[in-house]
Amino acid sequence: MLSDFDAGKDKKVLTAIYDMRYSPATFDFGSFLVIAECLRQANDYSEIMVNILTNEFRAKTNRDIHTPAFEKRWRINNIMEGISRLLPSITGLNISRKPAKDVSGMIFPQDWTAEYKKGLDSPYAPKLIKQLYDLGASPRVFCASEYARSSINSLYSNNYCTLTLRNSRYQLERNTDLAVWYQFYQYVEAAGYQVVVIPDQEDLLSGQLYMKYPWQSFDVAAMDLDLRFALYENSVANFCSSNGPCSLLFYSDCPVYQFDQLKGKQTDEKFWQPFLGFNVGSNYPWSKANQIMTWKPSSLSNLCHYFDLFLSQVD
Amino acid sequence: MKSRVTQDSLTAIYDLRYAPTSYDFGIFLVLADCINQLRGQGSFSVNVLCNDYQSRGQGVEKLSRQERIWKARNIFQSLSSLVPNIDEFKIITGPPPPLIGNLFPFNWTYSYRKSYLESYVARNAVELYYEGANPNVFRSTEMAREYVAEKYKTRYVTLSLNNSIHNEYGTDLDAWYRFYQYIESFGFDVFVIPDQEDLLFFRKFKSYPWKVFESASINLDLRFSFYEHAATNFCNFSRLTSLLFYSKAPVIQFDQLINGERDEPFWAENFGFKPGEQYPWASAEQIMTWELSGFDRLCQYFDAFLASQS
Repeated sequence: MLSDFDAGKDKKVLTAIYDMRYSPATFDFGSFLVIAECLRQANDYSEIMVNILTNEFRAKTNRDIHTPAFEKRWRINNIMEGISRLLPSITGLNISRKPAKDVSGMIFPQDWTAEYKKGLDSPYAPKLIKQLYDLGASPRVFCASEYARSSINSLYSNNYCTLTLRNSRYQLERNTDLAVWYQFYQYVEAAGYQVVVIPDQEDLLSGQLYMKYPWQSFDVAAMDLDLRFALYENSVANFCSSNGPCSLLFYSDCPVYQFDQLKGKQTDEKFWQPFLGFNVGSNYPWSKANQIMTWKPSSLSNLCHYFDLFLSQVD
Repeated sequence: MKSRVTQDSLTAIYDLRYAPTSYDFGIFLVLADCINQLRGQGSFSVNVLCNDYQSRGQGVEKLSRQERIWKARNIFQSLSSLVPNIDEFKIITGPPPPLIGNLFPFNWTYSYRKSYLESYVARNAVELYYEGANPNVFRSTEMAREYVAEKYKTRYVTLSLNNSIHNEYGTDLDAWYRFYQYIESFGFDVFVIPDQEDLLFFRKFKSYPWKVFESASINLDLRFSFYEHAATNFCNFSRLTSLLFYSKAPVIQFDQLINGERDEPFWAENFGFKPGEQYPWASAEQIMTWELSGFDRLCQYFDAFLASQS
């Protein structure tokens, strides 16, 4: 049906502005979008228009400073654009290298202006999502597209588990121990499940350490978040370490067992409580029974313990 | 291709009321960039209006709703990221904001106009080239180039497969696998880029033990950096592989005339040249063979490539 754009003229649109002057080029963009979505729900807006402003980049953390601009743009084009596809209420996306201009209408963050404000932080901490959840919002909002789901349905049975690896050059100490995860892979296989490994995108595109093991991987899921989510949605259980893409699973209906939250120097108890808004050892209050932050290291015994727990629930 | 000239930077509008959800969007970007160059502007913005979908055009009517959404999301932003002069990309599925200033197409209006045609015809790029524009506008990003250069240090050749269910004249995988072995016998690494649809649904390409770069099939930026870094790239004719002629990547393309619908008038009307001719700006490494991709022909062009290297 062709029109003059009349349909939807009266819709209330929330404009979410992710301004890279205040924000990291990371999966934190996902929690920013969940906050925007919760506000959309609370204020009865019909849709979200997302603006990602990339004229200047934040230089706050070590990672901000040491990541070159071209890598940040890659992450914007691949990670952030990909996450925005997972939220059905997003009806527009604007990625701009132009200097910021004022935006009219309902905006998020409300105190954002085109003029730079020293000290302003982008709102992306999950504790804000918890506050909105306590007020009645539903944070499990990310889902795969129909097309991605149909691809996964054609490629896989409905009786598989996924293992998501982390092999990044940032915070190396948080990386997955591949030898341990391969033993776990064999353990799950021995229980009669197909196991699908999703490598770390950085590893896939560089050293390919994961290829040292003869496991079955679905590499394109490391490149495309929509396919990755479709794979997670259709899986009976998803095992992962604490990493960017898997942090988004708690804002979806996907099953998830997440490990290694306290691995490394930068993500200790002091980091998590103020960031999440709940105590270490707890879970997101909106989590389903099969969405678990284990708060345990991903040793073989811990991995197998949670798999056994999963099996006992299936039985 | 005439347009009003103002001092404002160009605002390009790809309106799906008139234009297809296909790689023709790449031609639209080439035209916008060429016009921008001729006006001496540094950068331009792109707006994709998805409020209504065009239901005509080659292949487009065959797309299901879910395929169209997938393609819209994959093609538009991905292709725009390959054009360094684009400083703003917007995809809007609701009513668009007011679009004013230096528009391309210059006669676009907010109101729908029956029989209006969006600008995505490749022959216009030929006209703009003769006016002084450089149509080689696609270039992979620095990050993608770094990934590929780091990982693939030896000289390699790529084979791009085309096995879409919308294409009844898909790649003959047996012939191309024999060709793969033929290239390997000369000491080259050879990598196959599978058809995206085959990768995501059917996996016919898995029937052969060739080296595959699956990520290039799903990520256009990686695909282009892989092409740019290759010694040469063999492919069938498709809307996607035709975009290589708007880049500096080497390409040897086959099967332009395999489909009876693509006859001489088709080429003149859509591309601005006749079968047997080349894009006027093509380099010596960018060849439309106008041949079918049979094993012998593929080998003949590989031998010619080898001879050109010595």
